[in-house]
Amino acid sequence: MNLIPLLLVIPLAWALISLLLPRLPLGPIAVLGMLVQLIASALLWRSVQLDGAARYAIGDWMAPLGITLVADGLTVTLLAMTALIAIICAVYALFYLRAHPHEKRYFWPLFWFLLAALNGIWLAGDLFNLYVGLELVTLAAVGMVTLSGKRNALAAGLRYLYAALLGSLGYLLGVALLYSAYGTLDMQQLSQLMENNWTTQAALLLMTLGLLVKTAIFPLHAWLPPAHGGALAPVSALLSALVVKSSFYILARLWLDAGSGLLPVAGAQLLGVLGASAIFYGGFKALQQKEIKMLVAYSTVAQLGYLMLVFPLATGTSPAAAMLAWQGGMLHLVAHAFAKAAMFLSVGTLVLAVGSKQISALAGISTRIPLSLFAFGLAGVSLMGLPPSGGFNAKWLMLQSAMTSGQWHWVIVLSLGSLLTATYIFKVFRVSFDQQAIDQGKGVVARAHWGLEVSALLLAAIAIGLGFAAALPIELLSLPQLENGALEGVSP
Amino acid sequence: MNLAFDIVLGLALLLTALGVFSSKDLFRAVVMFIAFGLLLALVWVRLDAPDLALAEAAIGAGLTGVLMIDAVAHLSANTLQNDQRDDQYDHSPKRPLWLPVISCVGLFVLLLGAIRFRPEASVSLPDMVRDNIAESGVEHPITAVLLNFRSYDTLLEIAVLLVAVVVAMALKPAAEDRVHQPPPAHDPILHGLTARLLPAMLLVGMYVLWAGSYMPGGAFQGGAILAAALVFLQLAGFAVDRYAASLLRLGLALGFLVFLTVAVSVMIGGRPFLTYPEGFAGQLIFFIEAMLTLSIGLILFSLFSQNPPHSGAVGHQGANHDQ
Repeated sequence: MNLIPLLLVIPLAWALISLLLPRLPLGPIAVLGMLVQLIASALLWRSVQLDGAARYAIGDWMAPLGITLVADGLTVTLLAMTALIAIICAVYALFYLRAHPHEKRYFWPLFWFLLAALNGIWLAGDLFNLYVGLELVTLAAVGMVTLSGKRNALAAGLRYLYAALLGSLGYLLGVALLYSAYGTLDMQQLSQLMENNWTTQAALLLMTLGLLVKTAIFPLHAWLPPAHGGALAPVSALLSALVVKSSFYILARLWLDAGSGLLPVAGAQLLGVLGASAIFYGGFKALQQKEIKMLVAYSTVAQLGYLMLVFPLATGTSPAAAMLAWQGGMLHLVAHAFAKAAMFLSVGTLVLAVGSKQISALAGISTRIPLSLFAFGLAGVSLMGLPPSGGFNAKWLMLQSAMTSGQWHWVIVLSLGSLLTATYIFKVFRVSFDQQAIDQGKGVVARAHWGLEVSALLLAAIAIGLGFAAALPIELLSLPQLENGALEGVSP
Repeated sequence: MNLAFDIVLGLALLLTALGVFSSKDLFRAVVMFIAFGLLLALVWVRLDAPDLALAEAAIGAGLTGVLMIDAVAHLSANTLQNDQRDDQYDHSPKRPLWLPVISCVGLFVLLLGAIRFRPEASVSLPDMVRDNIAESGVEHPITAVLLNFRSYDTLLEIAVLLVAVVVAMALKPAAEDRVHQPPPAHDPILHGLTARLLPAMLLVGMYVLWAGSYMPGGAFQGGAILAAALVFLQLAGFAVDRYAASLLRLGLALGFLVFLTVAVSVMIGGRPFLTYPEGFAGQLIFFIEAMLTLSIGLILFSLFSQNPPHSGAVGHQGANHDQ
């Protein structure tokens, strides 16, 4: 049995089980399903590593008539990342949702639909199929934000929905233009057919604008902090780690894979400027937050900015610099996913323990709940880009790329960004290590379940571990157009 | 003559769109929106896309209109209860006009250029569909694309619908659970009329589903008609959602369940995902479409019936739970 469709069937089947049989213990069943999913992802990863990229024609209809799925190095890395983060979030949710019976009822179906959609996006080789995947991701994510039914959750969810729908419309309009100009929706065929003309650029511009809204890139980020900061802890982790990455992934595929050579250098620099603004704006806003979850949410706004630096670093530069930028950018995507999931989960535990969302409430907890704080710190190390961590390797690759291509302004942005990250991470530590508060015995109201603490720590450990094992994913993350030969390789 | 009609149609479309935005009265805006949907359906007819026209008229103008009127009724009920909220609506901040105007002009120029300088497509999918339609199991090209060539897209779209209704169920206030719902008002005329119209509506729905295999029609359009029939029943006081509650979940998911089961079970014979066995494509597609019609009808109806009743108090539950 081919593994590629299996990665779609597993989450869809589990979504149906969770929906139709709500009386079953859905949490443990979900963890079991995630285990199957993780094994399938690992096997596919191994097979791509050994045999190269694979294509899979659904319904036995070849593109452009049918829809083709593509599993290349980037795809399998993201599939494995998704499965790993999701299983740990599922374990966390297992314990966390005990206190939320109403939310629990609908969390699991949405969780599985979200995973199916994410896997679908990573595997998609067709522009319209990506649109359907984006819609499924958006709706499931909005549903998860509004699960609690509280007024601010509803407001944040509605805002998220409007922003995301606007983004989808922009993307869809671009897809329609490309289809009318070239007659196909298959990305590989488009990469050979697309020419540099008004229609192509207009289509790609519309798609880019739409995807920038969905990725919450400054100045189109306003929907993100309330949605990510207000959701339940496991939901925030999934949203910040995985959901926003899906639209960035499409953007990167669009400009650097299917439409390579079509992005004007000025446009790439502009995307970089947006990224740099996101890094500084998000960092400053994070520093100003009073609520811990909002601090982490604004940190996501800032960290997403680094992803945009891939475009100026990989456009109009030497192949070596472009390769370094691509690998660094994608490694940053993976490292941030683990670190941010760890951070939201550990913060969720901290909020449960002290019974307040305020940063000031964390005064003196360092001696009371050290494990969660440690997980937060490890995740912070990776976000700051300190060695050894996945974040450090990613930033190091990007720095190297910037220096190779002589783009010193991005070197400055990268360094200052890390400094800013350190400032808001240490803000939390300064409060939690407050000696006066420790002496007064302040802190902890409720004991946190060990399952919550361990799952956050595990994610943070993986983010750090990526610093030692970065060669493993990097090997698979070569620029796709360089291995187009391999893409033809295995077919079902 | 046709050109003149198109120009009038286009202008009417623009005017109703403007009317939706400029109307101060929400109810008026909704009525304008329904008119907009009907005009848009006409535009699809003019563009030779009768499938889209059917869907637009049934879902875009019909069911969306019902949902919006319902929402407006909720809003005004809440407004009447609470005078302070009334003020809130009146003093909504005036947003600057230049941003939407510039975006619209920019988009217009962009699209104009994109269409003017559009290269001639070297690949023709309509030709490929025509060449392969004999193998697809149906005669109507749209159905062949939706249920065979690009059936994977359709599978995911049904999942989108399912997620929408799951979210609606999740947002229904937890405490309520059918206990405090007032009985639906009994209107003898509506009641009698619906009872007599219902067989005709179901028949039309089934016809549209059946027609989908050789002419415009299919699961989405048939499902929308089914949903409309259910909405009529509910409005006439038949309380459909109460009768259906136990089977609702299964009914909602049935189409997706059948679709996914077929998609996976064909793989046992060594075929790729979603490949219909030779000779069975037509029957399988009709079977899937029939189940989808039922589910789509129930999903669209549920989006309407999951709304809390008009008692006002339930709508405000969120505020009480706020911490």
